[in-house]
Amino acid sequence: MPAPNPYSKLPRHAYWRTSVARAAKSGGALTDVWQPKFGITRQDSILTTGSCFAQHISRALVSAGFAWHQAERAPFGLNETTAKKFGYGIFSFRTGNIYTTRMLTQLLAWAINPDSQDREVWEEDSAFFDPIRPQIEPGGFETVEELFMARAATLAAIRQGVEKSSVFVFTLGLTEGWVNSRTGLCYSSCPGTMGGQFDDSQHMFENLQYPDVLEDLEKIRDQLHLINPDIKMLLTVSPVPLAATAAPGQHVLPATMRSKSILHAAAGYFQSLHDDVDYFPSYEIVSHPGLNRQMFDDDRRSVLPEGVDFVMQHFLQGLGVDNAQNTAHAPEEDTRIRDAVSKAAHADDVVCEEIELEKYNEDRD
Amino acid sequence: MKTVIDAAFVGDSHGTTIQVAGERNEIVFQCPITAASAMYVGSTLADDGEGNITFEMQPFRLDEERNGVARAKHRAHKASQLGTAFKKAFNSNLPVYSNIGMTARNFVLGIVSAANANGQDPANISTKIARAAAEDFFSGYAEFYKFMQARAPRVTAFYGPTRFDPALRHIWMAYDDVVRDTLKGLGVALIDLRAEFGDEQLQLQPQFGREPFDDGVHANDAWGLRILEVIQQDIAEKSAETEPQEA
Repeated sequence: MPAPNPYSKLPRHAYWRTSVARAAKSGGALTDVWQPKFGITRQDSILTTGSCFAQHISRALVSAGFAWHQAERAPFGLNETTAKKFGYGIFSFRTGNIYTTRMLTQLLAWAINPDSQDREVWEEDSAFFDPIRPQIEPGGFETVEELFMARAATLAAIRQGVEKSSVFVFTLGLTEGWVNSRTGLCYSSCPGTMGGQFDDSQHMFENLQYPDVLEDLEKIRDQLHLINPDIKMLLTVSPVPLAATAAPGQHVLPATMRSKSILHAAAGYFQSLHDDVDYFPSYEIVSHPGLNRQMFDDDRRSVLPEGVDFVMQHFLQGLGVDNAQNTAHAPEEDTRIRDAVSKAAHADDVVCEEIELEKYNEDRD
Repeated sequence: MKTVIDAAFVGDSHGTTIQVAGERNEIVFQCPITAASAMYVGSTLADDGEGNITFEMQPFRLDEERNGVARAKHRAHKASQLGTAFKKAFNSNLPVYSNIGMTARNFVLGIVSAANANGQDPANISTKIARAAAEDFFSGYAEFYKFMQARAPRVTAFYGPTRFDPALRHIWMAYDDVVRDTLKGLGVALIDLRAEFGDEQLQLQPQFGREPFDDGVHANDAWGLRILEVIQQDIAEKSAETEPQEA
């Protein structure tokens, strides 16, 4: 008998054959794909923000009875559909999608010190658009004052939300972004695509590198702790590919892989540095071909509801919502989880602003 | 000598102000239908097809366990009275003058209460959002107006007193705009005396506030009497328009 070595007593999930290959064969979930560093209970107030995939997390949390903190609630009288059009109830705050770490650090900096915020406004047909969330007010704000009052409300909600919550879930989406080279303002989308006018003398493409993302994540943690020293971070990477890349000469496929790999590596390393930061592998579950599941819709970009169900099943499982053991061996799924995630995933369409870029693709099907 | 206005008058507490001001000056409506605004919230009118009108309140408002037996019974009785009064008004073919849902106060109050409960500043709400919320809020009242419009020779609405927190003026005005546009779409006429009673911001001027105990919500007799005067003028004008011309 060979002498014991580090591989001799590993659990089944540490081996590909007994975890991934079996799950692929049975069609069941992976076991212990995520073992949370810190517990999240139904008493914990949880904030979600980030790219469009973050919406699935909030819905799964709500469906499973967790306390998703809607820090910026829709005003009285708005029905759910209208509220969503105005950006309420999608993330914890009325921020719209926050695709990059750079955008999040900017928002948190403004939340901490509102006087530091940039005052650029996009005007179009007598309507005013917020460059950091141009789609938040359909058709634009009626006055500049209202734009900044609405932003003040969001910044206040961020401060109060972070202050009162235990966990901050951030889904990293992109490395590509646009910056004003004169003022340093980070835009949520390229000026001229969802609002504003593109001006190549001041609008600069920025593709974050691994050190940039890592540095931003450290900054985000510091900023959050400045407001609430006890708050924990849970990171995920969105598996949704880029709708388009602006990286010079790049093909969108390697650009996507590059972007996701950087985010994944930075988030993974960052969580290893801090006990109060965790990482949930949504990107891996959706993107890895080993599971042999149909994850993407015909556009090869939108994650199918079944795929979202599958990811969220692992998320809730990690949170201990079920007690199913070794589900790779037990293809019969816990119906409570399935129902919860299914309800969450199909509640309604996900709001994903980046897909707007596709309208600039001149080659129509 | 008592003056009887040949019209049905549908109102909430502001309507009661007008009604009482009129009674003090011997002016009454042929068919007054007034109740506290809470009676109208979420309520509907229904017609059984034989001219019987029922005033239907939301079941929870009539729930004895929730509201107490006395209050629930009082509401049920009042609802029955309102149904009968509407029936009488429609059977008499009277024009209707109404202010239900025409005062933004409850809407603004709802926004302020919810915002405060959520730790938000209601003043930060944009006009566009206020308008969208107002559309939903007024939709129930719009059904009331639609119902009356289908059964009365004509329906005319008028605004209540505009008494707002200056920081929330845009929310109040957004509501008023929605009301105006909705009623226009329904073919309901609107008497807008806000400029006459208000300052340049349309805020009700102090001389129309109640003395000595101003509740900051309602207006006084002078306000009520002026509205009565305008209603009488309106009726006279409309009658003149419809009277056959002599050869």
